[in-house]
Amino acid sequence: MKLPLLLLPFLFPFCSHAQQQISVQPHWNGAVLDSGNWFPAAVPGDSIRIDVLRFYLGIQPSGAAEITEQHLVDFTRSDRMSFFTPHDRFRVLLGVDSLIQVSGAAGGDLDPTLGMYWTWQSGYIHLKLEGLLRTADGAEMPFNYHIGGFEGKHNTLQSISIDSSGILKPNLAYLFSVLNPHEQPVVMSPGAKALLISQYWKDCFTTKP
Amino acid sequence: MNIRQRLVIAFLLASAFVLYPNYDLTLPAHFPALKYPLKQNPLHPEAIQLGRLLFYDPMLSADSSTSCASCHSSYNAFAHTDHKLSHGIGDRVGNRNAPALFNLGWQPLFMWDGAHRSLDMQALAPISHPKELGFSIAGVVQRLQGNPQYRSQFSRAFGDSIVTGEKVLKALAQFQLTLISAGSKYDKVKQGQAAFTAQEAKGYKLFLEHCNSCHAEPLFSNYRLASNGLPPDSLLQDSGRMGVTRRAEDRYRFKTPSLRNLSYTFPYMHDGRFQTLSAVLNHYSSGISEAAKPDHPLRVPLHLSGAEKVELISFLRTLNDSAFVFNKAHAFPMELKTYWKR
Repeated sequence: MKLPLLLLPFLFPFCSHAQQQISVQPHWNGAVLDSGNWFPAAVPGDSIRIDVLRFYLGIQPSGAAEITEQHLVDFTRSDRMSFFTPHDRFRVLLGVDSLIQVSGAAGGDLDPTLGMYWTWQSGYIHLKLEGLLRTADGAEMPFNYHIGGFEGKHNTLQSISIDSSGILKPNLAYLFSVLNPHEQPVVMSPGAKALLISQYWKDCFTTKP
Repeated sequence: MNIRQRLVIAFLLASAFVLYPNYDLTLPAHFPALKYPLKQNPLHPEAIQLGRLLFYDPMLSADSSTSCASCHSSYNAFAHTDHKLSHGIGDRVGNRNAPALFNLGWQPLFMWDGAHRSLDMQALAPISHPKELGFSIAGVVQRLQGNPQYRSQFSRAFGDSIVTGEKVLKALAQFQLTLISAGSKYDKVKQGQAAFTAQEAKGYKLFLEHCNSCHAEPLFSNYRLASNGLPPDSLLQDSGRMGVTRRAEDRYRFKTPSLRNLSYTFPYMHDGRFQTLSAVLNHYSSGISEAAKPDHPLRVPLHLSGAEKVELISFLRTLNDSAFVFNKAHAFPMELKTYWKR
């Protein structure tokens, strides 16, 4: 019996799954994105505060036809800013797989109590972004973006690349450089506007400060 | 393995079978294949019972006054007879007639505008709508988790007492899946156990000629969205499917309802505007509005004589399923009263 036991430490790595940590570090042109802080907006004198930033990441392993893992990221909760995946080769998607969208009630990060499922129609909200815009004269106005939609030409599921560090760094300053809350303070249903914002959101992950 | 070990394993297996028997949903032989993915939510008697308790429990509303059954009563084939529009908490009146609930496992879309694709998830709409239950699924979960009897029932249904949104929705779906209406005279005729009268047979022929393309037997709906030419209601201003898709071509399109159990589910149409079947047939004969852009089959008015209308209605009455409506397994669970003693 002793010989197999001695071999166990050498055999173990070949039996285990590689674990890859994925972390999300949202920022505003390099500054850490904290809730409660104001950041300079594209319009001179305006500033923006992010109160809600919740979004889904999907993991599609290499060779798999579908997303096999869904993770909900919430920038107000440190325990939701990183996770492990057992896969070492995979694609990262921003949103929830269309098959999952129509597959009935799900638990874990997809539980509807987390407020990421539209109650008035089918579908998960891929990105929930809420906050305040403060103008130079001190006036404040809320903005609400609930971005989703999984059908036809308005499918807002986006694919992003990730390097070996496993760290995703969305730059919210980019989003608000192309999206003006003065002109578009609310987008809360699927359609062309949601699709455009999902593309801006994707680009946040590649924009450097 | 010795005999004692084998006996222990046999006992454990038998116990598991007794404690967790699967529920065998009896599917009518003359119905098409079930659309609901049972593999994702296998039926279990205790989960069905949990869904039934939840369906009748006003705890699901913000002020604990209104339940699903308030607008979907079993003795009305789970519609709300004699109420044009649904009633919610605080005497708030909704925008649409409460649809009858049966044969839901065969439906690809839910709600009058087909906004939901999943039977599980559609319950989120009435739970959170301010004119219906006015609450939230998170609030429901928190409330149920605080009730020891519900915790026990969740444990019996799902193997542990932790209440989640997923379990609440799956239990509600399980109960609703058992609401199968296939015991009408029509069904008995199809199974060779009864025969239509001469009047009903003439009505059936008229039905096949004029109605079956949209209200396809044996479910008596194709469950597609269509405009049936109802003059738009200036007060409600309900654009129907367009509210979901934002597409102009979907304006005034609503889901085609089943024609089963019509004697229990009046008034008719998405806004409950017609009290009688005669009024419905009159609409299809002479009330079609071009403003509502009726879909193809209804562009030509249904020219029925008085006698033909009587024959058609005579056939439609063969779709009433009293065994379904008065099935005690679907009715208010008296044990729910013990859940409220706290």
